[in-house]
Amino acid sequence: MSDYWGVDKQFPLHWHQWGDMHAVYHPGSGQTHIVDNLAAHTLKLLETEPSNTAELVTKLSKSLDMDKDDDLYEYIEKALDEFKRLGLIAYNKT
Amino acid sequence: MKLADISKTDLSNRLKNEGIRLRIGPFVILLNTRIEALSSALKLLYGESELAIDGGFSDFHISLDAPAGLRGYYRPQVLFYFDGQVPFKPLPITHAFPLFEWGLNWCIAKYVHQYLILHAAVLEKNNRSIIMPGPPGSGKSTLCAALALRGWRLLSDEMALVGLEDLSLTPVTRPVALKNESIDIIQRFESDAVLGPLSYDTSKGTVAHLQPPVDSMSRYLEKSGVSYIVMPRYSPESSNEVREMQQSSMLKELIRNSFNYNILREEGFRTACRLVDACGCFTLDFNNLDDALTSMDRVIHNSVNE
Amino acid sequence: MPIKLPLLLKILVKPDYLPDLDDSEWDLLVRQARASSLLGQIYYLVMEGGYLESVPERVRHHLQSENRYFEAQKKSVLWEIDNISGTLAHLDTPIILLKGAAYLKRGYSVSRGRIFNDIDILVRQDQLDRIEASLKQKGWLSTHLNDYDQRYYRQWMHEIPPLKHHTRGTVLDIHHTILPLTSSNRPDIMKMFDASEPLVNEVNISVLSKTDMFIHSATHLFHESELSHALRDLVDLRLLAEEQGSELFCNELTNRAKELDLSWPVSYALYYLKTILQYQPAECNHDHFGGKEEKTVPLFLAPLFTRAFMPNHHSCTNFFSHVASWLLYIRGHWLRMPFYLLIPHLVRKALARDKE
Repeated sequence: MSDYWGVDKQFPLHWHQWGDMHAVYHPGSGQTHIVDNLAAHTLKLLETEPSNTAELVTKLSKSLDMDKDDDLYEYIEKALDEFKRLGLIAYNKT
Repeated sequence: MKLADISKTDLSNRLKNEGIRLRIGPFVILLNTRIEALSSALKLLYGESELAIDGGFSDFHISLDAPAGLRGYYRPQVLFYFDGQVPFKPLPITHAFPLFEWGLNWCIAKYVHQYLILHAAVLEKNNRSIIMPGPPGSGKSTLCAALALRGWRLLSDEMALVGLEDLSLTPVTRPVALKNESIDIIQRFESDAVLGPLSYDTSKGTVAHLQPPVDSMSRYLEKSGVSYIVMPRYSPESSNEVREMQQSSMLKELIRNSFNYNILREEGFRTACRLVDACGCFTLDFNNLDDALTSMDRVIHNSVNE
Repeated sequence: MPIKLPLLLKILVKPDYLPDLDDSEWDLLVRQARASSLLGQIYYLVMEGGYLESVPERVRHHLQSENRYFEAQKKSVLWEIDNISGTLAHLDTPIILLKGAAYLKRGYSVSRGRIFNDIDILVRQDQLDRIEASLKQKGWLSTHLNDYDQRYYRQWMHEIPPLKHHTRGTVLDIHHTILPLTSSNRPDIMKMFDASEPLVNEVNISVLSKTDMFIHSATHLFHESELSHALRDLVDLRLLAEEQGSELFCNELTNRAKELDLSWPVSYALYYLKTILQYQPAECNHDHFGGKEEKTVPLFLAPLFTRAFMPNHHSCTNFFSHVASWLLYIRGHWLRMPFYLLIPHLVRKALARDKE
């Protein structure tokens, strides 16, 4: 089973939106990031509930009406890596 | 009473003894110095500043003096003291005025967090204010000086103080710092411009300060609302052009040019986002001051696209 | 030695005076408190007493700015602790947070408004290499790169050269015991490990017991050679003692100090809490000072420390305070090192300073 990732409740994200661009502030690192619609949506899913890659693919394809194909899978893997690198998401301990 | 109302002798005596309490924007600075040249520069450049009565609370206790010891004799130097502490290395005594300015910036950036503080000029005309963030080399100070010399009200050259609750702009009107070729450009632009002493070979090259307009100085307590954020970009090759800027990109610029965003944390994020929401966001490319001034007028008359 | 009590001390002893201060008194208080790293403490005394309304607006901004600075530091330290804990989780060895980081994580009142620069952790000496290696893989770099410093730390000190995160800039001090290896007191650090307390929701992070926190803080204060934060440290001790809230605290404290071979710093702490801050934990009596209270601190040292506890501000210093701090500097080194080591080190330090 693959790892579960989520947003650490100790450091809840703050959002602001301009059209299809989103600013997200992480209170732990103090960093602000600009993300597009798809990335924002992915991150918000993880904020609601920790997920693993497979679950995230299902959720995202359902909510955005996208094909559950390799492209989406690959996108999510990349997005997760980037979120991890920026400290936006953390390994879910529970 | 204004600083200019004190005679030269009285001023240097007071600076040597009890000090003066100078009102600079929302702050009261208790200032001491034994350096005559600094005393004269203050009288020229801060002449229109009000003095607070003696005693009471001063936001910052600042003094500038020569370091103790032999050194003072063969290569005179000046130190910036913040309430007895020395945060910076000594500079040649001829850099006393710029050192005062930089030191005051340091005090504000380090200890004042009731505003979001941006490295930006702030100017106002017809009740419309423009924040001009700009890294060194963007032409921000030169453009700021030119606007101030053409009747715009100068709220700040270096620091925009943005209210966290109401986004109001608090003036902190001070002399405009001009560097290197900007000094000549401004002197040619306006022959009546009053400049302070030249300081050569500072870390920023040659520096001189422009005396702020009398009207701007007298309105030092009058806050203003904000309407526009304009990023100036000077380049001799560029054409003169105002363009709308994407809001998310403007947010990035504000963060990059902020002194205390990292301290205000969530509050800083919220304030910066709301500020971008409340303002028209533009970039201004320019290669000469006259055209840039016309562009700034178009911005405040909402006629950028005409 | 009669000294007119500086305003900051008066307020620390009796915060009820706060609403009566006039503008010039606030001017002095803010400066003394800022110079002594106690402005955040003043903010909390104001809030606790409900005095904010009575504080002049100009002053209020300074207090609130200090608090904003503190809140920012708090979040970034908690975040940093999370990262360190994550980086070291796979090693399966306890990481004990010390001082500021521990107070924050515990949410103790002593953490409120307390600004500190470095995160301090205590680890088992036999795990040092693994810990250092794991941290270095995650971007923590050694700060002292010259050979002398590296050798000095590793041979004689209770910590390894501090690590600094290459992007975030946080400094991490890794201790393997609480006093330099050269000190005459040699507390059994394993006893502190054994009494340490795990934190809720943490796998590998723990903190010292409350009593040990007090002993550790006292030990450091009175071994320190640079006492620029002495008054702040003494205020820490008062807040730590108040945190205990137990009638038996003094007994526990003195017994534990004896067990750890750290009785004298604890007696000094109790002595100065009483003389400087007029604070005495419940049930403390002469026995807790190791006999007669007045004799706790040797006659020649007492006035030096009394000076060191004055606010670190020019309104409270004179020629005597410079002499006192120099003597305490020498004494701090003398406590930490055998004599033959002390002289070369001081000379080296002086030379290094001249080069700067």
